[in-house]
Amino acid sequence: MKKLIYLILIILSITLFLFIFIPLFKMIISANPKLITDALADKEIVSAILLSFKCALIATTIALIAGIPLSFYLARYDFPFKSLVEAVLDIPVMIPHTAVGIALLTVFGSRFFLGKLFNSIGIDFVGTEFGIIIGMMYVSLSYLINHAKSGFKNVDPKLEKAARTLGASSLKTFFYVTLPLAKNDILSGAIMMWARGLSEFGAVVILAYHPMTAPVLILERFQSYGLNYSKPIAVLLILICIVLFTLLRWVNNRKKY
Amino acid sequence: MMLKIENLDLNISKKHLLKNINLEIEKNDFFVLLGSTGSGKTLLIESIIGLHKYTGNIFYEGKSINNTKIEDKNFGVVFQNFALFPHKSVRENILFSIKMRKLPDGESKLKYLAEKFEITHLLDRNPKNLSGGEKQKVAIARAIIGNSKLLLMDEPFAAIDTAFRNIMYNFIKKVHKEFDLTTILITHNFDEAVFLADKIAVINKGEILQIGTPKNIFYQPKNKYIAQFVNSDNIFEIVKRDSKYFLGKIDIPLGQEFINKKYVVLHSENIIISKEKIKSSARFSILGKITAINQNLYHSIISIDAKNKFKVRITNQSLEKMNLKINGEIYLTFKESSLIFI
Repeated sequence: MKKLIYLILIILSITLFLFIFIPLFKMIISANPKLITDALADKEIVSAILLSFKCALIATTIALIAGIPLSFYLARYDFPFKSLVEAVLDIPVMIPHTAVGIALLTVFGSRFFLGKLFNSIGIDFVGTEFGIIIGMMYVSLSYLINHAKSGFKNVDPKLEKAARTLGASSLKTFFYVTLPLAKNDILSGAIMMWARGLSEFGAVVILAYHPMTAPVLILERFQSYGLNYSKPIAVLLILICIVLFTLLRWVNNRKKY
Repeated sequence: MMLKIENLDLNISKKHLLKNINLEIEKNDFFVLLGSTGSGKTLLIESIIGLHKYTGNIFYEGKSINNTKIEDKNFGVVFQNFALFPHKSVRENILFSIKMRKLPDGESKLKYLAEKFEITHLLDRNPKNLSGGEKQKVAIARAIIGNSKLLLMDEPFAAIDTAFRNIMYNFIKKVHKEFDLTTILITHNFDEAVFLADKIAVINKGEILQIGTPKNIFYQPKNKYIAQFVNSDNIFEIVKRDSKYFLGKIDIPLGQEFINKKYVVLHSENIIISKEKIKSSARFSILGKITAINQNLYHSIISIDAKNKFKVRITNQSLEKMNLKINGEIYLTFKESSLIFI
């Protein structure tokens, strides 16, 4: 009976893994290698992929700076309406991302207050990299916040108390004890956020069709030239992501105390 | 006076958790806070450290530390389960306060302590790979390397195998003496407290119930809770019948001088058991029936029903010699002077 249960669990796990793996694998092996090498030589494709990576990286960096204090606060303290704040932070992953794009447009568009404010210092969010960055950041921020929050929650407060008794101020305790111990979770969250950000289409396409990110370019090529011309970009993007994120995961998991 | 606590009260989330605590701890005292889980002993230590906002006063070497920051107090603290930093080596753990406080001679102090504590071979290891005893040594070294004169320890033996506890008791006593420390240790174990303490404070529900030497606490417990807590084997209610006072259900009349007391404690070592009635100057001799014999490696506990339920500890050798059996009859003899009224 026990063996049967194990067998069922193993089959379920393998099925789920294959569900993710097979479409990716099929897409990679069915792509014409010539078209992939052509894609690598196509400046528009390369710059779209680089733009996606760059904007997602900037969005993640901003979120890391602002998100770490917020995650720490959520993990360590209770305050009125905390559940509501946490729910609001989760909303972006639940609603259609095109709706996110429209919502952002109504706030950061040049006709609205924040848009006007940023415009006055030369920052425009429509049709620019700034727009791509806020679109990516908005939809993927919760991945970072939730991972970092759980990382901070896992740090035993007793270790922080010990650090204080050993002469560390609260700030030093954070940097010498709390942050290093939550580091792996924070990095996991950052990787997830970056990955989610760079694959973002819905919010980005509303805010900035141009300059074109890789997901927008895939749609453009698909609509203008068909499947055969959009597939190499998709395959290229998938291959880069698989290599990059496997590497990052490996680095992140390698040094666990 | 090393540490003085005056009228300390602690309220957290509208709960009154420490109530009017008053304590005086002399320099070089080994002071044990004894209490069960949830009694408030850890909260008291944490208040001394500065982790809670209390009302009242705490003085350290005559100066108020009510508003002193935790990091400026320089108390050596050993937390329960030791709280060693898992992302740092043993060496980095011990040197942490030297680094934070920018103290000189860190390496030479580390070398001295490591040799003294016999942990030199562990310095480059990760704390997770150490035994309970080794972790404790590292935690103590880390706590005192910054020249702390007051050492606070929260249940330091809880994570140590019973077999090694005696070794660690001696180790801590030695450290306390050699480093000229004043130590406050928290425990729920009375035997541990007796072995280590110069003075014990018994705490329950956030209140200090009694302060005294181990002997004082054991032989003159202030109330039934303390008597139970310090493993008194026999506690009987004083019962009033026909305007006379009796030892529980036993027809032993007690003198009127104990009129305001509620219980009698009779320590097992003051009871003689015998198969024949002993004719001696001992005041009381009663007959009972053995209801249980619990034998361990060191001694046996004999449960006897003599209207009141008695417990008597004897050596295993005596048990064998006397050939005691369950349901067998036995005489209990004790002096009136050995009765403790509380």
